[in-house]
Amino acid sequence: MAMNTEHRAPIEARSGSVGRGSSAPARSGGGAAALKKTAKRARPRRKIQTAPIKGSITRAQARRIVREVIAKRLAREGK
Amino acid sequence: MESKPYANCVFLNCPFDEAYKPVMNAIIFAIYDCGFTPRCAMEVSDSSDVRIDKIAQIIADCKLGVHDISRTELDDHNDLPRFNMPFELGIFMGAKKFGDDKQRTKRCLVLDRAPYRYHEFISDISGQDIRSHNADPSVAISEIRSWLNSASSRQTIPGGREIARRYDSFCADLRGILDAAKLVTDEVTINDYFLFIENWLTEDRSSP
Repeated sequence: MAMNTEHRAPIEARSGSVGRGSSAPARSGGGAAALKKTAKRARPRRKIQTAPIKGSITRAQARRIVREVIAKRLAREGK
Repeated sequence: MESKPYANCVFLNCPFDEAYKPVMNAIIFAIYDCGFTPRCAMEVSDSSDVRIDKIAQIIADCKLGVHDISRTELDDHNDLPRFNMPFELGIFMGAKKFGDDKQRTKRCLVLDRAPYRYHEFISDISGQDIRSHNADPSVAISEIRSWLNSASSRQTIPGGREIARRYDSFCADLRGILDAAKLVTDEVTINDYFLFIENWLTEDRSSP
């Protein structure tokens, strides 16, 4: 799933005094953990490649093609 | 291939030639539509494995087995019959007879072209569940459905006519599927066919 990060504030601005570069100690209650979580979430996700089985097409291709063919048929049948 | 539960897997031991394809394709579809997973020697193309080892592993993974012994004709080139199907049936029965507790739960269906024809060439299997399909895909579907229903005792298996109706609908869509995949019939691997059926049944069940 693609994530829109354009309008996100910098991590420092969102995490108060425990942002990167701050010398203030992290508050108890998971300030550092929250930062770590936010930073991880903001990182662009790597697309997971599903290994194709030994055939001419991949599982994803087969799913897309079958869906399209059935959708066309149903449209022809007026469903 | 991803691992599937033993009780759900059906070993398919049948001829892979063009003449048999209509029956084989119908059997594969029926197995899927009944909620089971077909497995066969052709699904693995790793040439580093010894063929018999691949087959033995697939047989070990399957509680159920469909064995078609209808191909008894002599080969056009060498005037010899094909022994692979009776041989693999023997391995399956051997696993059931001499295997561990899990293997002893195996169940199999033997298919031939005509009733009692097997008496002429493999009478040792008398007493097994042997049915004939008359080389007719719709009869094969009906036999597979009835056998899976009794072998598994599942209440969720659709009727034979309903499976045959869905198979006809799948065959009609298959032309469009192959066009979209830019494949011609003889390029379709068994794994492609498995994928098309799996996805088609999923979509068909969710469509109006």
